[in-house]
Amino acid sequence: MTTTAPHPEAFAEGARLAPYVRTAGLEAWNRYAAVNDEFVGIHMDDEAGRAAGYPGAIGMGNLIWAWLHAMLEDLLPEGGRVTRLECRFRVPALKSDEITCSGVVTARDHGADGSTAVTLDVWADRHTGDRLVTGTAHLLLP
Amino acid sequence: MGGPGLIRPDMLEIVGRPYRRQTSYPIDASAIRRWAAAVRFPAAPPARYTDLRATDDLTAPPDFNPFAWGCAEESGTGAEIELDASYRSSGAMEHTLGVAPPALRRALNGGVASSYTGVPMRVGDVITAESAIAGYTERAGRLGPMLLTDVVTTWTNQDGDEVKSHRMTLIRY
Repeated sequence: MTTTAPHPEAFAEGARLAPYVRTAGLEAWNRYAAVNDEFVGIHMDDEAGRAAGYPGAIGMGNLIWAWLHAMLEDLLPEGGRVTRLECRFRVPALKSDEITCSGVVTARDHGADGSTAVTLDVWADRHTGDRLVTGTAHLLLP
Repeated sequence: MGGPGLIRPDMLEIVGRPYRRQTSYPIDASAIRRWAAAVRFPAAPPARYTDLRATDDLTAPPDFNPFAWGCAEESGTGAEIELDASYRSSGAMEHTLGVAPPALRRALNGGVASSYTGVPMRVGDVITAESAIAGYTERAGRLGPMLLTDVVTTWTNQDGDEVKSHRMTLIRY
């Protein structure tokens, strides 16, 4: 788990985001299912996961999506916001996977109004090094 | 050409047509707080979610789903046909526009993209979401023939202000 106060250099081009780390598994999946009504067999039941071709139950892509939002929210300064986030789910998380969400700043553009638009590559990896999710985030900083 | 042949002409005819319009119940503070607690687990949510004094100014995280456990109102298209129960987990939506879904009963979330306007979801807001199929593509995958369906949903609040546009790629196989 990481909670990082916004820092002026946090969004410099090439800067790597402080990682947001969570453990995949029923403790996290059940909580997310409870708020998003996502009690789908493949996320709850190892047999359903195996029937779909996986070693067991798999995590929700939506939860990693939520973790990416949380990571960005923790880093944004007052008045900053996410303008766009897009991601592809390549491989699902499995029970006990340690998932690390992170990103790197790829571009900064200064607006005439003094705001700064920031583009980042973002991702979620598991502890084995597999990349589960790739994406792009766009932020607007005051 | 040369694909698995899952995309039929009647499916292409419904591209761009709204197939679902839902209006949420007013967003309440507890739902926002529970959402933050679930996503942040095992850490505590940031203070902005937990501070009781900030309730009037509380805004939901952008990925918050006010439709998760039902909606206050849902309007159909008037063209719905019966959907066999075996398609229940496939995410099929074509039947709501009178078109039989392709014979694929498993589904995965292939990817998502949201554009946020800067209009937040606040306590008391009522959100309306309208969804339409944006397009189909198909390919042969490891799990057999796969149909990729892009669905775009636009969320607006009770004042008609757009909150976000959300695109989801549903992979059926």
